[in-house]
Amino acid sequence: MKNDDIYRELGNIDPDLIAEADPTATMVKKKRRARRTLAVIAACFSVLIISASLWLFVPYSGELEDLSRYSESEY
Amino acid sequence: MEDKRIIELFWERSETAIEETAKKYGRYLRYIAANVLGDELDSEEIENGTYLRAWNSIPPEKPNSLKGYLAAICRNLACNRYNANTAKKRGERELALDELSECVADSSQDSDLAEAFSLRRAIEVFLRSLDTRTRIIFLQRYFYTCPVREIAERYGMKESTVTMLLFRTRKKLKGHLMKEGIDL
Repeated sequence: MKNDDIYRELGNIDPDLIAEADPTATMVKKKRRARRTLAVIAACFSVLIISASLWLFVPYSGELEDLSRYSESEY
Repeated sequence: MEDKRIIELFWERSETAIEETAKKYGRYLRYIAANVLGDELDSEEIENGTYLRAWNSIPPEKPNSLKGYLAAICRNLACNRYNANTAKKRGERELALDELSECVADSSQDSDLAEAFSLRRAIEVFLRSLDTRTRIIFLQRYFYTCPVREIAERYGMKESTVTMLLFRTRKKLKGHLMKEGIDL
């Protein structure tokens, strides 16, 4: 028995075992995972930007201040 | 397209079967051939040879896993091409010895086939006894001929860890084959 025999016979094993170990599928999964991570980071960043904008540019989101005390003020 | 439908197309003798196979598995087959041969042009030839071999063998074959079936054909063709390429580089003495060894092999062809079959069975039993990750890494190295560096990168492991894992698995395989009474 030589190494060649083992190497050759590995080529004749059950196709299900061969398909299970497909290295290109692992690469695709890895790329997809990287893409998903990137999308999550982008989504978090967008939420942060939107929240900051709202906080800065919409200051009176609650009850409006009573301005009647200024009604008789003179400029 | 699903594998089941592609196999049906092969059975219907529709040439769309080859187009669909190429669309779904072309890149995968070229990857297998390139890992064995290290040559892009040869890999494309092997890919086309795989389609032809599949066309000639389905029917009567009806593989459960089309992907694995094609991969096995592709790897075997690539190995044959590799042997042919290296044979060209060898001297006349080796070629003469090879020719003579064919005469010897003829007389013991049946026992060779039986040995090959029992070796294959033993390897399959061994692979099924491994945990999934070890089995996948072992096959990626010894079926797909992936470089250790690539495997390590894929699984976020150190190269030395993969090398050690493969070493231990080879050792286990040796023990298993000896237990099964296969001559080493």
